[in-house]
Amino acid sequence: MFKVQRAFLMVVGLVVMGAVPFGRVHAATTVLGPTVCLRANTNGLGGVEYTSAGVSNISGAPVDVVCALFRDNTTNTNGMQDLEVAVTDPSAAPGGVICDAITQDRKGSATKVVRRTSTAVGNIVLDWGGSVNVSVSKGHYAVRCTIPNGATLRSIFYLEP
Amino acid sequence: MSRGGWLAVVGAGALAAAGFLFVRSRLSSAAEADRIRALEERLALLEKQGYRPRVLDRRPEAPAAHLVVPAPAPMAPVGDERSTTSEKAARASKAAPADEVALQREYFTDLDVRLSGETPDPAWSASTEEKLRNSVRDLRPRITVDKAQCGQTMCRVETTAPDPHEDAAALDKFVSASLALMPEVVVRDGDGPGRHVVYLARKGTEFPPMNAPEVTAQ
Repeated sequence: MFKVQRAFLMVVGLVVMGAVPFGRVHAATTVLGPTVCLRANTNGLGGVEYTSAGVSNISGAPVDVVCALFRDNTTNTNGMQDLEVAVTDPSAAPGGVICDAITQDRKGSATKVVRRTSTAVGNIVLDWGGSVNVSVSKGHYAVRCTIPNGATLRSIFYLEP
Repeated sequence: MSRGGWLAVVGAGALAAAGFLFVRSRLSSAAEADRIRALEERLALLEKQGYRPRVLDRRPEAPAAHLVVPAPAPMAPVGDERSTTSEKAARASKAAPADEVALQREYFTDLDVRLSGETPDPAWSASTEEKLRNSVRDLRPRITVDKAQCGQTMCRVETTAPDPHEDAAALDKFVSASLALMPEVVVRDGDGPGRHVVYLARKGTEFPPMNAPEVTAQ
């Protein structure tokens, strides 16, 4: 019986050792709340209101906000597998929410930018799917949105490879 | 089973694992070689047709290094973007710095090859080139369009920021202005300070991912 146990443990050990090189890092799914966003071009101050439910434009005119995304996979070159931004837009007509998903290098230059424009009003989700598919090792990701007056950016979902 | 029997079983398992690793590495090398050969054939064909790719003097350790990848994958309709979220892409791409430069070079060469193979769309290309040239007129910091070329599905624009200190800001302004015309942009460094090459995908198409070779080969 002891021999059987020892042999079993050896087999398990070999399987585990063999599995390590084949192991892959799992894709990282992240959801960020609205506090990662700041109003662009105004030192981040004024015209927007933060709550746990979102960052709202109360300025009376469209404002731009820029949101930093935390990057866990810092070396891949194929960007994100999915990206979605949830917004509530009370406007009468669609098209007021314009968001650019940006991958940037370490010099501050954009390497890929993909734009999505709202095609509805109310609670909407701008979906980039896997189109933000180019990135630079150690570069970073950002989302820049134009938000109409009264609209609220709720959250950002993204999936890294 | 005797001790010898168990050892034989374990030994056979180890041999099988080693054999699997060997075959896998050979297959990977063969796929890589096939991919490089295919790219060289495409370049040779284009050079016969008069295409002269610009050779950038960029060393692997240069801090100005940018993007690039292979994948002769066709421009996919926007509706297909979900397919890139597949498990295949989940295995993506960890590139060492030197590899990343090669990856970027190959990626943008592939885009150049694709554009040079496209016949200009008479209803779209010339007018879009003109719009791209005009889009920089009022931009500050200043940026110039040195060359603009559009095919059927994409455009290629060479830009220069006269003030290298404001290079990133000027490029950002140009990209923002261009996004009003076409919703997808990729950028690579040009052959000097303040110079960039901007690729724009026509609405309804998108650029392929910049996958590392191991992902592309699968």
